[in-house]
Amino acid sequence: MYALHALWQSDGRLALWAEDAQAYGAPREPVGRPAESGESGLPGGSIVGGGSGGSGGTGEPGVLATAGAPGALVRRARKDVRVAAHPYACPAGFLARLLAGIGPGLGWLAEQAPERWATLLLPGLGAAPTPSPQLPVGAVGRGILLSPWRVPVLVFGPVEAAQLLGELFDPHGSVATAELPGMGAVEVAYGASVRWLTAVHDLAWRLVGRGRVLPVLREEESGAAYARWQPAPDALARREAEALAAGCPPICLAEYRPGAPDRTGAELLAEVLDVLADRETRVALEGAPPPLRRAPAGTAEAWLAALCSHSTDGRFYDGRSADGGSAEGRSGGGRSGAVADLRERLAAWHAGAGAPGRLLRLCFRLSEPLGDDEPPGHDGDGGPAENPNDRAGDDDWRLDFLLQAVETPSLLVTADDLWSGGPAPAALARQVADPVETYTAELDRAVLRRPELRPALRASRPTGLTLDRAGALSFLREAAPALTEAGFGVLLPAWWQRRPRLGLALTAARTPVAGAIERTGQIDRDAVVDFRWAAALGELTLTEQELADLGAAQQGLVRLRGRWIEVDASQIAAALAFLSHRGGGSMSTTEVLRLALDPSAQVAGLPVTRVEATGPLGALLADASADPDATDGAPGAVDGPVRGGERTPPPALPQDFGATLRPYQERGLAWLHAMAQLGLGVVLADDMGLGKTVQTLALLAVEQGERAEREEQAERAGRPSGVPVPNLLVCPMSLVGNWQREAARFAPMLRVHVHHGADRAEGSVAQAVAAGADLVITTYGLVQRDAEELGRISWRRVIADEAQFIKNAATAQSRAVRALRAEHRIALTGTPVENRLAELHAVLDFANPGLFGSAESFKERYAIPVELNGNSAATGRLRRLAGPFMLRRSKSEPVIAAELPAKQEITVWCNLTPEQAGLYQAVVADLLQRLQGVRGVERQGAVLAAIGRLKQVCNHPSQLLHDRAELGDRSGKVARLEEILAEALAEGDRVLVFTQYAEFGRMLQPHLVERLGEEVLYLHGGVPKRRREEMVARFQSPDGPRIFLLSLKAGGTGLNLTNANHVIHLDRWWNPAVEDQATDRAFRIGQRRDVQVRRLVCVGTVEERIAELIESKRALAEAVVGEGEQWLTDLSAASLRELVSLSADAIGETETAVAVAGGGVAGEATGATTAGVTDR
Amino acid sequence: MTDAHALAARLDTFWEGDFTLHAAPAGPVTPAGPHGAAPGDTGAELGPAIADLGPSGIRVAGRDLAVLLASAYREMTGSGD
Repeated sequence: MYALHALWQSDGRLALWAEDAQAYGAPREPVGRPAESGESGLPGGSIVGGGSGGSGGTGEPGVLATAGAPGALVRRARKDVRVAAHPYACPAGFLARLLAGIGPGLGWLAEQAPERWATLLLPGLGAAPTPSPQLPVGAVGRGILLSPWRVPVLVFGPVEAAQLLGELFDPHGSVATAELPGMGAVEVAYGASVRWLTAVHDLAWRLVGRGRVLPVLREEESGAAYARWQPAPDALARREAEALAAGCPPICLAEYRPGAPDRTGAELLAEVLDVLADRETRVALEGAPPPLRRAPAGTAEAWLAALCSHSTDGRFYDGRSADGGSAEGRSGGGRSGAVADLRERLAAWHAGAGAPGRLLRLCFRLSEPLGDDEPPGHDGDGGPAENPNDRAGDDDWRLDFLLQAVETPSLLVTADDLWSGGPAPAALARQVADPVETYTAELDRAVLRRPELRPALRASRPTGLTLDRAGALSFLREAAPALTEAGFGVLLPAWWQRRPRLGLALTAARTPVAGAIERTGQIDRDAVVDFRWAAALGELTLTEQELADLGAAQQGLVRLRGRWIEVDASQIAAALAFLSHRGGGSMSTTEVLRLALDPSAQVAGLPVTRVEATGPLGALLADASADPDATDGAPGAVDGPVRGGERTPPPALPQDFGATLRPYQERGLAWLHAMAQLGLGVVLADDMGLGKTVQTLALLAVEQGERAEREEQAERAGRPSGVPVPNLLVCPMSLVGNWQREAARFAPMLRVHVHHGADRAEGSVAQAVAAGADLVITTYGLVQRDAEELGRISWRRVIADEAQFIKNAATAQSRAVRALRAEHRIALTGTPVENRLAELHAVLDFANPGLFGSAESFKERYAIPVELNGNSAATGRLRRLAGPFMLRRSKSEPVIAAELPAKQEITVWCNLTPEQAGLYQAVVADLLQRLQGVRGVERQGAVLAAIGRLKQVCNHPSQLLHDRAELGDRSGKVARLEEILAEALAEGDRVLVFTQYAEFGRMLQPHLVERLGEEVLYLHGGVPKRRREEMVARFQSPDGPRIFLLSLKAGGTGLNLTNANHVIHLDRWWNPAVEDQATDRAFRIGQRRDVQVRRLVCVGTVEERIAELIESKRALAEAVVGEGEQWLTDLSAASLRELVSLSADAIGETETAVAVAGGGVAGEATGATTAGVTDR
Repeated sequence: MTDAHALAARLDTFWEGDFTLHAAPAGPVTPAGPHGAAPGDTGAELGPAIADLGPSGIRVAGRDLAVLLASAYREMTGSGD
């Protein structure tokens, strides 16, 4: 009788061998082949080397023994010992005859099989192997040892192995009969190893018969690529496979390979099933029409052809073929790249996203090794670093598998718990009938997606994997994102999500200059500072030794000062190279600021992670870095976060400051003051109506008070008080009067000089400054025209109001303003970005020249990504860059809105153009002449007519002249109206504009349409009711026109126009009640926003004087002016003259001197110092 | 391939396994195998693995791979006739 055994060798081939029962009675001489075996034939091993083994040795020469399970020992051959041949094994040739005797199929296969030797660990007793239980030789006694024995085998490749196992499969019996020539019938018992492998083959065959295989692409390390069919068992098959793995006979695992890794039944099953499923699929497809009916072209076709070929092992690429002539070869990556791409796409296809509606999913949790974080004696702050590669245990990363509830991700059960049962899996059992089945199916899906997880399947009950650092890094970088994409849960260490990048930290300190007096507390952008660079990881500054150690590290993951970091060798090399050559030196403060403020700043290809400095520069940088990260907003939104200066207490205002600042204005003043003290320019970009003017004047008033205090102290100390340094305010012509009036109203302590007018005297500015003027007001036009005179003065500060006037840095006007010498600069604008972000750069660059780089680099880094690509990251970077230097509050911000009154009333001061002034003077002269000798009704009529004509002049010359000419730029009031409307539209607001003159409205409407490019509704008394209702409805609709021009009579009452949040009164009715009624068209029930009400008043005209009267004596005014303008007719000639005469500061325009009948007003429009104006 | 200690611990059953060879099932008719048994399992068996997947998105010779492989799966499962 013979016993047939099988071994699935580690080389992927099947080996058959047999025992001869008779031989146990009379051991045969060893078989002579293979000749190269050097076989001695001595049972138990012939001793070539000498010496005994280690502890627990048997004492037999040449054999080592170690303790195994209780009562058992394992013999191991020394390396220099030849393993003996099994004395009772059948010669391979005889085995071939035995197989042929069982059946012709087996005989044919045996003929194909080469004869070889295999070495197995087999149980023995004494110096001989014991027989397998399939042989009727007798029971085995105690004292059994496992020893290596060499047995003659027939070896079958995968093709033949599959066929052979199919032939040997017999579910009904385990003994076959072989007819041997000359011996007759002999019994051949199939050992458990043979039967187990036939069972695995049967499973593979049945899987194929049900189509439970998937096509995959496998690559070897050599680069060779194979098309293979991979088992895709369903739940039933998986359970069968698990049972087979658990029941694997130990003899199947007995191949003797000293030093080789352990192998489990699950691993063997997976390997055999994989090979046999591929083979059986190819058998099933044999004879079927090929999927491609032509020679394959390209990687995918070659793979498909190999997949469906019966006769190959599936290899379609040897890893070396250049294939340069193919399209793939010519494209990036070549053939190997195409192979990898196809593999990934197949894996993604197989993994899919999991079954829709699934309740549980597999989750991966990577944990770093536990252990001593800090090397002994390490102080954590630049002390000696240990070699990052030398720490033991750093390669023990653990990847745990868990099952996770999709809807309740916190419901997690480890695979360990899952297999062991208990309460935790019970929670999952409420979600699916069999959590284990779900787990294994998910794991199969994951393995399809990421083949590197396959080793986990070696365990019969897989729970996870142990990874070394390289494996962990690979999982973090590649597998984790892919698994997440495929719908698996992935839990990574928290540090990975915010792992620091290697960067450079800059430390700067002011360079002391011999003999120079340093202004404490102030940043000098032109000063030079010493700097030193250091490598940094997040907030950790690395010592040179640590950096060198990291550079020497070969692993991608390194533990440094107890923290895991990802090492990029090229970055470390770049840092080392940079620090060795450019680690220190000196640079300008502007450069330091630029590096600090640009979150994307890089040096030598490395990010600048931190900039620190001493003194006020350091304070600013600390303040900037303390700002909370701004969230990425919509492109173009560049509002900065809360600035540090806003958090400091506001400076005390002089007691005679003429306004009480609202809280947000106090914060603005604090910021302006703090930045001014640091010497850094700013952009105040609050919404219109929030009080940029009053905040700026408050700053000037505070500084004036501080300066006065210093002068007093100097005087008391007998020191020189220093040269006064004035502020220069540059604004559009239309705003000169406004600034002048607002300065007088709010900051009467300021000595103000207005530099404009055709007859302004040469040197008048210098004279005013010498006389102690605190504030010089001039226009953009004059800065260009009088550049030489203004350029001779060193200004304390240049303030550019409506700074969008200098948004085009290339214009002569803009260049002239930028050329002014000043310690400090402020840009005021309600619309820092009107059209393009380049405008923002121009404004920022005015405030802090050079700090934001060139216009070209700004365009490349911010403008294009934000404007063209809508890049929110670039928007965020820009916001952080500009944030410290720009303060922008919107009236819609809740905190601001809460501080604003529901109805905000603002007087807007306008200047007359010379043409208007000339006409105005002519009307006044005519009136005064007419009044001579006139009494009664005639006098009243003349006065009323003249007042009316003066108001028309203030509106526009054409209104008086009826000249039907284009409105053009002939009116200061209309110019100011255009500016206000443009700003309101830019903020998305809607405006009602009231005039008491229907004729003026008719003139104004087409003019505004042309200037603003917006539809302007115009309602007057001649509009029919239906049309009127239609206009109101359109204005109230969300997409309707945004400007509604109304005559006071037609639109002042009865309408509901709550869509507007601005009301502008172009001309005065002198009756507050009438104006309030008109205002109430917007400020009424249904209005959800705050309303700003503006009254346009021409400086130095009857409009201003009556407005003053109304404001200062409102109660009286209401009494006397209740009936309109009638009361004016009763004024005395002297009072009337005072009321209507044109004051010197009325005119804004200076380009043209207009001579009109009745007065040469241009001659009166000279600059004037209005020091100590208090009664406004 | 040697876990000597593990094997030593299983000397009593060294030559034995704990498994069952499945005879031909009495279930749905499936193609005959090389040993005469009909492939297939009992219980809730799933269809071909490719049926679990949708289109591959992988174009081979101008067609989706899933379409190209459909005939192969029909061959395997004997449903092509």
